[in-house]
Amino acid sequence: MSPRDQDLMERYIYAVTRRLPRAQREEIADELRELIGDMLEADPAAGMEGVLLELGDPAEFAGRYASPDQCLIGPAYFENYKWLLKVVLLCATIPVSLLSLASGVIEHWTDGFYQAIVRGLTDGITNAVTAGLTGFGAVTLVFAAVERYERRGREGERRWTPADLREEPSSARFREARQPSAGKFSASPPSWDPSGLSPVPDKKARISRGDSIASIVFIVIFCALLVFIPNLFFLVISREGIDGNWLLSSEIDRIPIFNLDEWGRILPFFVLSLGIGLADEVIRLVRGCYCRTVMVSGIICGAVQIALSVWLLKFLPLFNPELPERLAEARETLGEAAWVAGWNGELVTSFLLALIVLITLLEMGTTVYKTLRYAPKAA
Amino acid sequence: MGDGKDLLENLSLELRRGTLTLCVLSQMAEKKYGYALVQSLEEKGVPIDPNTLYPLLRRLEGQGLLASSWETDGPKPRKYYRRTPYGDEVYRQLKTLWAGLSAGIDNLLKED
Repeated sequence: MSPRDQDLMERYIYAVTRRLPRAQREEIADELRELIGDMLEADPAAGMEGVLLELGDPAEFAGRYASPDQCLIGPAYFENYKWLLKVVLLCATIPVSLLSLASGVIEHWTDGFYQAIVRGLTDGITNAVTAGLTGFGAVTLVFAAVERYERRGREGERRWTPADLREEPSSARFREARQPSAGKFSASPPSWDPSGLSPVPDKKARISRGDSIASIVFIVIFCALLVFIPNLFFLVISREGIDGNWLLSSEIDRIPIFNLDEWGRILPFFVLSLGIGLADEVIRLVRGCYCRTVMVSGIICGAVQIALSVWLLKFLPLFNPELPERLAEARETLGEAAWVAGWNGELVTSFLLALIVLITLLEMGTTVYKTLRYAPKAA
Repeated sequence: MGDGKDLLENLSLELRRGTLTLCVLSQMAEKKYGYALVQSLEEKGVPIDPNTLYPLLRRLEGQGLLASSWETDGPKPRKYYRRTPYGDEVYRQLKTLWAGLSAGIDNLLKED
């Protein structure tokens, strides 16, 4: 083999093997050297180029070595993935971008018209892109995990081991595992049969798809806003009373409701609580009717959300610590304006907590009642 | 009608691909190395591309139907494959399956 041929061959082998898993590279490279050498011997007239041409595109060649079922997200889940991705991306990016834009413009209004617009646009676009990428990553990760878990389950069925080298038993085991029906076009023995079909749920047991979707949308939007523009949630206090363009006027204070200094500590719990609520809604959407799974999920998610609410409201400084002072100040300057109430921190958090616990318990109760009363009995 | 030609090619490929494993297994009662197998299959009337055969041999080995060994007594090291006992068993069953299948198909095609 001429040095030029050798070089060409090595280039080809490199092009193929670099696309293969590290562990197999060296051995396959040796196999290829053997193969190319043989082909050249068999047909020297073709030359190295002819041989490589016959072997074809190295990328395609490498592809044939891959196991046929490799997918990040397989066909079984792909449609659902695409649907959820669309929902999440729309819910995350559109509200975030619009509200970032508005928020940016409002905050910088006093710097000048164009400044404000530019600032608003930059904020809007950056936040929208970040929100979009995060949403995409989260959804893809979840589905990839589900696919992997499913595949492990399927492959666990039959793996060859040295024990199969035993003479007699191996044929019996083979027959057991495969039940070949010679001549019939049957696939592997059925893992499903009609008696496994669950009964059609009672109309009252059904969970409205629209409700679930609306909840999911709302939670995703709220989450996105909390993450990207928490200062959106503010109280407005006018220093000189309310006039025409009060929202843009510099005469007002925008006081964030949430404690933004400690936001790094607080946000994870807030998002976690919302995330758990989201998971519960997704489970309801997937099942479509009240059943044991939905009931258990409702109870667990409800309980965790209550615990997190207690944590958020009572143990973490969720609300802006300046609120009481600022409201007190405003009260002084404005006099006894009816809508400016005093901010008693303790009272507010207790009230909110009570409200949240009550609503959650009510939901849990409804779910349990409906499940026990209307859910189809397990076959 | 480029599409039509591609379609035919694809369908032909599918048809041949289904029988490849059986064809290869049939030749592996004794140890053989890759390119020799390519040539002998071609001579016997079942041509197969080396870039299809080599990954297939690897896959069959992974599934336990073949066993491989590198032999270094010739001028260059060669990887030889041969059927395992499990592979023998599978081959036997596939052969029976094929007999039934091809009889059935011949029957269908006769009607046309």
